[in-house]
Amino acid sequence: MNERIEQLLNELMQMDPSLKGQEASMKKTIEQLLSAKPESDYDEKFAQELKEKILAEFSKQKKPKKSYPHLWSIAATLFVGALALTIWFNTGNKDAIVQSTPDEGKLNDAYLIDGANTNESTGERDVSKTLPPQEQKTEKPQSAPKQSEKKQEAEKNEGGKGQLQETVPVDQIVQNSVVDRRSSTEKSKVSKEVLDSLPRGRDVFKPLEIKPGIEQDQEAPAPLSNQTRLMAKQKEEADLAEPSTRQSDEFNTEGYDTIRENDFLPALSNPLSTFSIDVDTASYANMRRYLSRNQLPPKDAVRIEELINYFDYEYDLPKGKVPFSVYTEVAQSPWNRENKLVMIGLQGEDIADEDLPPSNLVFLLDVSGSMEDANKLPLLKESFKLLVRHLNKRDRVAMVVYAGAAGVVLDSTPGDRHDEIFAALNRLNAGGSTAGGAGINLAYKIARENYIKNGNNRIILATDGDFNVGASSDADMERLIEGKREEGIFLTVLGFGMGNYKDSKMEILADKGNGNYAYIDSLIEAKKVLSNDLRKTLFTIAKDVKIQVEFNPAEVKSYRLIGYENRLLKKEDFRDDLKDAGEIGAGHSVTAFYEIVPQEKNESEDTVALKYQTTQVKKGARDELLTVHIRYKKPDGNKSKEITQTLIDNNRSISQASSMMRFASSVAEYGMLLRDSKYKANASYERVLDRIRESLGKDPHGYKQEFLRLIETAEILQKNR
Amino acid sequence: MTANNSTQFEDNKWVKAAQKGNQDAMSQLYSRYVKRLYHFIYYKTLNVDLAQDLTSQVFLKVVENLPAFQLTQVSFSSWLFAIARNLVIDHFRTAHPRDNLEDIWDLSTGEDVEMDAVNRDRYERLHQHIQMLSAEKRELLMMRLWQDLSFQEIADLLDQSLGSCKMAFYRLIKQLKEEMPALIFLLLILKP
Repeated sequence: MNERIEQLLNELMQMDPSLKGQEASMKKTIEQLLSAKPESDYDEKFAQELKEKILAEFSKQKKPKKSYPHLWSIAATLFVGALALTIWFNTGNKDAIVQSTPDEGKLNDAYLIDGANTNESTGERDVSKTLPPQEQKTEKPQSAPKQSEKKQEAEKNEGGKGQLQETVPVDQIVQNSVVDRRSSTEKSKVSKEVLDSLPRGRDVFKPLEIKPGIEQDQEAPAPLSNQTRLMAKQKEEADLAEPSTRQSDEFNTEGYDTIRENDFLPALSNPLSTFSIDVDTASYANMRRYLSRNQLPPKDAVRIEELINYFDYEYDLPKGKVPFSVYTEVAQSPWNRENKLVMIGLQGEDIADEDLPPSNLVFLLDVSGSMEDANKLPLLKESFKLLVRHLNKRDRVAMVVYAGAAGVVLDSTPGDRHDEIFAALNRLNAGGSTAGGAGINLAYKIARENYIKNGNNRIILATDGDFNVGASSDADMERLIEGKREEGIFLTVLGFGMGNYKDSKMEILADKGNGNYAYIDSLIEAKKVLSNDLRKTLFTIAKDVKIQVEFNPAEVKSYRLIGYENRLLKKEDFRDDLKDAGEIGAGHSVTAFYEIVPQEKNESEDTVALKYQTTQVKKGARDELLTVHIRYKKPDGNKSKEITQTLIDNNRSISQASSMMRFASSVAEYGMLLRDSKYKANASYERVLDRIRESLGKDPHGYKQEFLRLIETAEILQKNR
Repeated sequence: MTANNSTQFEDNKWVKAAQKGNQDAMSQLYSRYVKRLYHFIYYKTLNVDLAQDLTSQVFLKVVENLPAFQLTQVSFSSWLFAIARNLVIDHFRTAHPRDNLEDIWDLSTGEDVEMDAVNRDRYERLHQHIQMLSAEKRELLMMRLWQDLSFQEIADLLDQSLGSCKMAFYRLIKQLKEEMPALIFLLLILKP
């Protein structure tokens, strides 16, 4: 390395002696540039395999070449001889041979173009009588380019710069060669390829235009004003400090736009609705736990979006570069005939098992005294074993436990050593108090040490939610997690057998820590989260996914977002890349519903009665109901991209809607019934059950069947009240 | 690794033998160049799979066109790298118009190496800076510094005189020396 720097430095110094005295800084520059050299991962095995392939190809090809020049020279000689004889016979004069040399010159050209192999032309012997050797030699290089230029002109389709032509006359070589003569079509294809590739410019690094279309890069993120920061922070702190307000019937919306949560908002004065996606499913499992004990879940345990997102919908898989596809549909609202229901679905791209990036996992396990119950630590152990079975030797697993103190129980270990990992899990015992903060710090430290670039770096936290950072507050915990988020390490929170209060805490952890949150109430649920849906749980394909819906006041009088109450964002947050939002996993789908009150066609108010300004509705887009804007970042990116989709009303009834919409709207309706929503209108268990039964679709794991039984249970419990 | 007369002489010997169908000679030529060629393509694409694919394509072309290759016109190494260069250009221009090169460079920030945070950071900033250079300059830097091609080989490839290549490189290093501290500083500030 040093030698090389010296060599380069010397070269430069020789070129400009006036640089004397600046050696040190020149050296540093060269050093830096050399250190920026990317690791190239040269693979000896690849080279060896390729060598065999190339040599096999070589031995296939080499045979015919030798004989060709001879054949052609013989043919040419015969032809020349015949020509000479003809002339001789016709004229009866031997001098005519001399006169005819120009013709023979052409002939020679042709011969050389077609037959010349190397410098030592075998043709010399035969034609030397009729053509002086010097002429033959000078003839060759001149005629060859001419010939090739013509062909090249005919073949190239873009006006290349052609500067390589002279230094690297591969085109000539190919055109003039015997290669062309061989019958294989492959050969002529290749020579054309080489030709095509030659005259192109040298601006290899010039970025190609990004295709115009729905995707657009955002310019530099708008700087967050101090006031905005303060407001956001105040809100977040308020949320954390008073979980009871978060849990109340009307979710705390202070600090957001003048939106009363879950209420209908007039589209004219509030045309934008913004929220972050939520892929958590914990609420569903929690609801199931209550119902299986024949209890109705508390209203606040029901997050409707998490019920909806528990299920898979058959959205089209994404095509092209965008990592997810967008689905929109509108139909009559099943619980209120006057209103319409809009469904917005995102489907994340799936990753084939063999294409999954290697994982660097750190299990952060709560083994405090409260984890002793059978539905906690023992379930936790079995659940993690399900996950470990999916790991292979590219993956790494470390295990950190925390109770009274935090400690490493398994150093980062290759994922295929299942026995070692199982043994470490089996050794876990519950006891002591909970020092979660130290555990988090230790887990992130280990994750960082074993960081896999372009891999899936993730901490999996398993706890009953009795989680604190020593003497510090909840806000401190949140700040701790938010700080870690920048390091490219994701967080999955798995809840075990806990009560509802901690549920909100854990959701915040997952939300703030670039993660997701699932609740494990049984081994069956563990199998869903950590085995069947493992890719959704562990592999993020896009982060900070935000949805902003713009309603067309000409069509929509007012609207209401169903669920996502604690995921609302201010409209400015949508384009603010510093503002965190939800992650979407491989193959994951996210669904949201808006209930819409259509605009009365006759008397649509086109202006808002404000004293100082008027809001005018554009007449152009009358048919459009709304436009969905979605922003997302790549898992390792800092800049968001936007995609957009417009929805036009086609006046369908709910029975005409797709089976996806019928099923998902039933889940929403059921959630509203459980929450006893004031907007439930004519919602009924009977209709929900009916619609679900006839829209079951694919249900390979029986999740939907199970859901039917849960609804039936809930219906009975509700009626018996 | 400089392509001095003796290596070129060696090359010529092997090329002539290979043209007569000598398999050992072909094997020699392959072994002499496969690593350099792979790196040459890799630095242009920063994508292992693509680099491997294009490397094999280059050698297949060499095998196909070797009988017609004329040593008097151009050295074997220049010919080889010219094919590689054009294949890379071709790849971005035609075969995969959507793989734009910026993306490929982005990809590179991962791929392999476990670097500590400081090094990774510096590495990425340098890459960002290098990306800001014009295409010609970037290619020159890559070929001379990373790929370790001789000025003669670069001159052949870029169709420029030896002197102007040397001069361009010298100016580039001087320019980078002036710019780099300031630019890195700027990038530090801009980076959130």
